[in-house]
Amino acid sequence: MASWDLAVTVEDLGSDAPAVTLSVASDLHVGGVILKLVEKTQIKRDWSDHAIWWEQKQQWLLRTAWTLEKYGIHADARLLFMPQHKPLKLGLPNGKTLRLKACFSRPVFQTVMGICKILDIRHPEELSLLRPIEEKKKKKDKDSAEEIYDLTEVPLSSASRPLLYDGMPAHFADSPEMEAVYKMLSVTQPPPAPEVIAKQYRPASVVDKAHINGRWLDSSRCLMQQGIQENDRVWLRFKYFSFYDMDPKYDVVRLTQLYEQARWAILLEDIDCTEEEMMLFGALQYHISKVSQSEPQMVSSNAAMDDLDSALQSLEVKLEGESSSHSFTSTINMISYFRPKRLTLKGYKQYWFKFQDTSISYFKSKEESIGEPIQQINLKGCEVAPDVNVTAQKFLIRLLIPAPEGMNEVYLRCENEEQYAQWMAGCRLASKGKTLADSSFQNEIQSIRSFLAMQKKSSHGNAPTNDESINTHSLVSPRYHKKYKAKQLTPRILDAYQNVAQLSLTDAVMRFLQIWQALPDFGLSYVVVRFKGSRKDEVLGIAPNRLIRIDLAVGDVVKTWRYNNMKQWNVNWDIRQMAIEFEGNINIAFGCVTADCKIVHEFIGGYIFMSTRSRAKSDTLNEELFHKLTGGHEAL
Amino acid sequence: MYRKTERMDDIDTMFSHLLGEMDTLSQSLMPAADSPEVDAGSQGNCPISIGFSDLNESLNEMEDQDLDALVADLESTSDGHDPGDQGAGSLAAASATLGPAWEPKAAATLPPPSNSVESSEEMVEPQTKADRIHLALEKLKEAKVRKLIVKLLMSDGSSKTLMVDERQTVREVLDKLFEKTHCDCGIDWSLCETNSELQIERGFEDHEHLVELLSAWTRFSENKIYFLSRPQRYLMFTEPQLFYMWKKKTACLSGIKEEAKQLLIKEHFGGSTVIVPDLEGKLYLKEDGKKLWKPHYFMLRASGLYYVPKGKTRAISDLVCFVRFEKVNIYTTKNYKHKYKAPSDFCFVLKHPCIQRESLYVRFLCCDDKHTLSLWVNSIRIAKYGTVLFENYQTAVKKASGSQPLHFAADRYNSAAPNPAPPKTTNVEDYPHEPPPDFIPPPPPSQNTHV
Repeated sequence: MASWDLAVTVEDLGSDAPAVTLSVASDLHVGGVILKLVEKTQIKRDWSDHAIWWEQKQQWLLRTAWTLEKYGIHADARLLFMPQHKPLKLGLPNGKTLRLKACFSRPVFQTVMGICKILDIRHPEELSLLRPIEEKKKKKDKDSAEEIYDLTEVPLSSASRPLLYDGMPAHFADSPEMEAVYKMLSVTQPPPAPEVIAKQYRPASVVDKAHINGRWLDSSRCLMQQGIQENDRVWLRFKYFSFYDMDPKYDVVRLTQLYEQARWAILLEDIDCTEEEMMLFGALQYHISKVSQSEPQMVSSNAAMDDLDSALQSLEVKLEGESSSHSFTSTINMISYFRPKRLTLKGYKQYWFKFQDTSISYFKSKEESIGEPIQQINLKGCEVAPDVNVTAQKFLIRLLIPAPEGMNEVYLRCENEEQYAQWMAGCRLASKGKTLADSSFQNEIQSIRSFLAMQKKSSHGNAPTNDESINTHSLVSPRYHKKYKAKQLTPRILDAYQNVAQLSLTDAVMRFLQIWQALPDFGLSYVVVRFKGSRKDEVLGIAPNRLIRIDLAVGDVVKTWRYNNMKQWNVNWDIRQMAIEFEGNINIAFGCVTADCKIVHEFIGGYIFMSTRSRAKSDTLNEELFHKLTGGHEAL
Repeated sequence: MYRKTERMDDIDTMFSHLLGEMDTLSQSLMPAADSPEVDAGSQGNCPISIGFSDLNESLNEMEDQDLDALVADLESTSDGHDPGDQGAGSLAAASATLGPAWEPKAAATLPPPSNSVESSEEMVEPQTKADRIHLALEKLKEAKVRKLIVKLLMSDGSSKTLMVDERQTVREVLDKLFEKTHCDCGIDWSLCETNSELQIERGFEDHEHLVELLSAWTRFSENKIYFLSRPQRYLMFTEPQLFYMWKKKTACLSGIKEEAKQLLIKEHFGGSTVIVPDLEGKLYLKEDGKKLWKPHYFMLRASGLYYVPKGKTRAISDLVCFVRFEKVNIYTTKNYKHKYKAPSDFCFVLKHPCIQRESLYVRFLCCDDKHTLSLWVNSIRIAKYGTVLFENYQTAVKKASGSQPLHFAADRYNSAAPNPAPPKTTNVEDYPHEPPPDFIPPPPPSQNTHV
């Protein structure tokens, strides 16, 4: 067979170096080309990760047994010999940027699997890569100052190394720098400054929200084919909102990053929530950031020790509870009334108060406290609300005590912060049916104190102080920055905080995720579409179990189709239209406006793939099925 | 290891503390015997309080066999939990195990094997100190258990009288009633509380503790408890499509297949978060203190019930939290068209369980029809109770299918000691491993598509 010259550019020789010319025959297989190439460069190194990229065809020549003829390669082919794994800048859900070596030659689905292995995130099928939103040129100088965490030194084979005792993959233990990267991945970030939140892009409508979904990379094609170059920036995000088998024990990084993504979705109003919900999210963020500072990592301790600990704790409680030594007393001003009598408002009166178990009793004076109290009020099941203004030295505890006739309203006016913290903590525990002997009593006092301190600081906020403490505006979306001053937010968040203050770090993160997942709009990814036969744009919402059609004029869901009624779906690639058939002869077809129809197709197929996962098969990912369901029968 | 040893020392110290406390406790309980309530109980130092009616009356009303059973109950109770001589004896045995000189002989001082569960528990030598602590804690708890004698009305007008202790859940009381009444043990059987003054009623949830619920009643309360079959009790699990596809026409929902129902349940109750039905619509709200009902737009979210007090837009910023569910229960009503001039008789009430009379803190809402009422009441139950409700349902189904032999429950209640691990948990554990079959994914796109 006649031999001819084939020119191959070897990336490792530098961009200026001329292409290496080989004399080849058409029946030479790709492996042979590579062998010749390596010999000719006379460089001794590990070439195992290298492969040939065919530029005109935008294709990797990965089948080394195929001949040049089979690939259809002639002398005019522009070939590039380079590593398959190249550095990629990865924007993480927590806003940090990581540099690591990702696979540029395999379908993105596999690239994500590789990335997740390095980062120690289970269930990589739930994540994918996005082209980032272009940043404004102005910020350029600021960008260069951005800290980039480097993981490019992680050897490619390292993913198979065993986990360390505390669940951290071994490659993170190699150096202090690597440990710092793991810390960034596995520990939640402190609340962002309010200006940072305000500066970020916020979708104002459902159409705005749809645009982001046009940026997903195609899972069935590789990075090179999608124009992603070495050192380009892409975002790693959870794409399919169907989180399988969450386990705080094995999912430290996964949970942390999911929490970060959820937190930003809330802060940037990517998902709607009510004011009450926002305050609760704010309280949880405050709590999580506080606890993660004291707890270095979400490492779960030995279960057996936990049992013993809790047994001991309850023993302690029990013993102390019986000894009835747990009570405290002080002089407090009180006012009490039934709501209908509110108009006959009398002034505060001073009594001698005693707090014991879950009840408060009051007496005319300390001297009379040996006898019968004027009244004893059991606080179990009551509502406790703060009414505090530190600058005005107002420390009110408002108690709503249920009685057969309705609610008794009682106000206790404390003298100072200390008294308030103690009595408030007591009231809160009692309302939950816990006595003062409960081990959480001191914590409760502490958390009230720290919140009071926060209000103190934010009340100095008039002067532009560079305060280290958390600004409550960091915990809520910009809508509430306008609606409330930081000082006004504090008591609202404090109110929600009482219900979460005792949660462990993991529990608080889980609670945050649960409330997020319970929001009515959770899990919806929007795309603007044009239904067949319709003349206006509408929005298709893709959820883990259904599709919804939103009429932009009405702004409301007009139709819901569930996947389990879906008989078949396909794509007409020529007119780029998706057609879906549901049971009962329901056929819909639409073209996609804000995203490629491959993206929409992949979303729907992807969710169906997610629902096929089961515990028994969870170890191995059925990649073939994923591509079958998401590929739209496009040639791979 | 050092830390652990230190712990063990701690335990020893705590144990001696514990013993001291037990002594004090038993002494403090002695004077209780003088109180008339316990006198009537005649069995010594069990702290029994009377329910809503006169104890003698209740006792007189009891059938002979029930009375016998009650007495047996009380005897075994005092055997097992008497914090006096016997109790101290058993504790002495427990404490002896801590000393080096302990010999198995000491077991002879344990309570007689008449109460099977407890004795079998103690036959197995406690493995660790932690176990022993648990045991001791159980005993400590026993000594303080509150008990009520409760009269339950049957649907046929008869009644049963039971002694219920504060640890018993509604589920356990139902099981006890299943034995006594020989009913079909179906999932619809429930205990239902009525309040005649407010003309409201509520089916107790199976996980609630009966004694605690009844302690919200006033001393001379007219409230009653019924044991009856409420056919819509678990409607959200038997007909989930009514709630999760409520916008669809009822006609297309009626033909829904069983596997589609199972899938709905899995989707909304099977994950780490229970998904509340996205119910919204017009409800009539009774104005404070007036017999005036005004329509408002209401929306149910997991975090509470919301409404639009003014204006017409339903944007998220217009939603105002009407009530959160932590501290209120939901009740259905009787004849509110007449009593409060409601637009219809399909009303529901949200109130704190302690409130027994009309008050500004009782919220009255009215729906257009029976179906809407059922949607709201049951959806609010999902929002309030979440996973627990699903667990209750699963337990009820197991019970109904008879997978749990009845004599097991019988043993449990004839013996005095509580089973520290309620069987409920195992049921719940079992379930997720047999998930309902997923729907079969549609076939891959057909060949005729363009490539």
